[in-house]
Amino acid sequence: MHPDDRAVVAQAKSGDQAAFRLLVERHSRSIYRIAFRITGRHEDAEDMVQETFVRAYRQLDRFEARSNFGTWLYRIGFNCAIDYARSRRNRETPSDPLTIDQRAADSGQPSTDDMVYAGQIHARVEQALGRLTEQERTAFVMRHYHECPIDEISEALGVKTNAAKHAVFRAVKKMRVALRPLLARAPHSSTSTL
Amino acid sequence: MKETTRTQVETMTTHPTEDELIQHGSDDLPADAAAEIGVHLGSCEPCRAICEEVRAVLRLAEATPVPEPGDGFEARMWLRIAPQLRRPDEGWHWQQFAAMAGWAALVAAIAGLTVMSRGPQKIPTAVAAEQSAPTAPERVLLTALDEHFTQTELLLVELLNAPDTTGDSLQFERAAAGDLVASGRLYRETAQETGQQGFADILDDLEPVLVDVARSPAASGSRDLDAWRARIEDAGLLFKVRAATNEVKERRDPLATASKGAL
Repeated sequence: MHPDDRAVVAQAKSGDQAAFRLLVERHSRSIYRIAFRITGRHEDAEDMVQETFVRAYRQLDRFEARSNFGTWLYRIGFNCAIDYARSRRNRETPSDPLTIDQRAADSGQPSTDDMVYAGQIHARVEQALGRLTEQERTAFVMRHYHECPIDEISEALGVKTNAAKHAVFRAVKKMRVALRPLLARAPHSSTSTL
Repeated sequence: MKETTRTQVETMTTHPTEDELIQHGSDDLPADAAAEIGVHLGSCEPCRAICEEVRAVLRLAEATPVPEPGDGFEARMWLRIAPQLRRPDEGWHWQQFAAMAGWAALVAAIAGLTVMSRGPQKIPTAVAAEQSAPTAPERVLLTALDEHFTQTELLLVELLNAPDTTGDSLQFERAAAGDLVASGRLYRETAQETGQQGFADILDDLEPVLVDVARSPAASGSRDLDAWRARIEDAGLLFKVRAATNEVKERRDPLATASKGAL
């Protein structure tokens, strides 16, 4: 929590919009990073930042002074992300990996190989994230992109610690399966010995 | 890790489970369990390979960049957020749309002049002075900015001196601020396009306060006024506007004296 958040939040709760603006200035970038990880699109991420702060403002009376404002905001942000991801999933179908591979193969420009490959990685990562459940994706993003401790993840998700741990674990397993083909080293067969 | 597994690791007769190795690779095991598996990995290449693969996958995922949203992101977001913190029925008036059309025409004119001025540069012989005259598009912008900054200065002075009130005595200021927000955005964009970043920065500084005034409810009271005044004074906005007005006039002078008819 920013050292001065507590006082600023108190001012914002009393209706001081200048104070709320200060909170937006302090926290909007971190919410944007979360939003971008989950949506993968700048415009959508900005929409989520907007929605997060609007929801936060409307719920400000429920915020307890003892809590960490940043964590509380994260929770709202992740909830927005979950809602958003659900609505987007209903509207769109992720592109097929074969399409991406074909696009890369069709580009035909040796000098752009690296860019194509980097784009493939990016696309695969986004696809892999997109195929996680909302809870898994949120847990994974919080844990591995934002280094949140498990108790913070469980608080944000509104689940028990073990459930949060398990959500992270399931996400890692699925990401491993999805991204393994991109690793330079061929998958080994050691798992069969276990 | 369970007791049976610990025994297995210690005796090296069997391996940790794959799930344990994945958790180890993603640093999600408790320290004591991680230490035990670490011992095992020292002598077991297949298990070590699984952990390394998990780490490699995570590095791959984590290396995917998040582009920074750029300068002015916070101000931009505030402009989007602030109106939603107010009554939803507050929208733009038709006068503001009409004013926008006028400003859009002005910006189009500047853009057109910019394109036209990209031909061979004419250097007026009369202007051998060290300070070069503004180009035609710059001159159009300077003329617009002169008026804009003058109006802004008037508004800021009125806000600083307005009597504390709970009534709707700020109706004029609110409308004026709305007009200045709309025109300021266009001028800022034009200033950036014509390389006059200093003016763009001042317009950027002014916008948040103007937006707050423009979007304020009819029943704005002394608390709003105090907040605006504090922001105007803290950011030195009046000083900046006056300095900008002077700069605009100074930069227009060479035009008036030495390059008449350049348009």
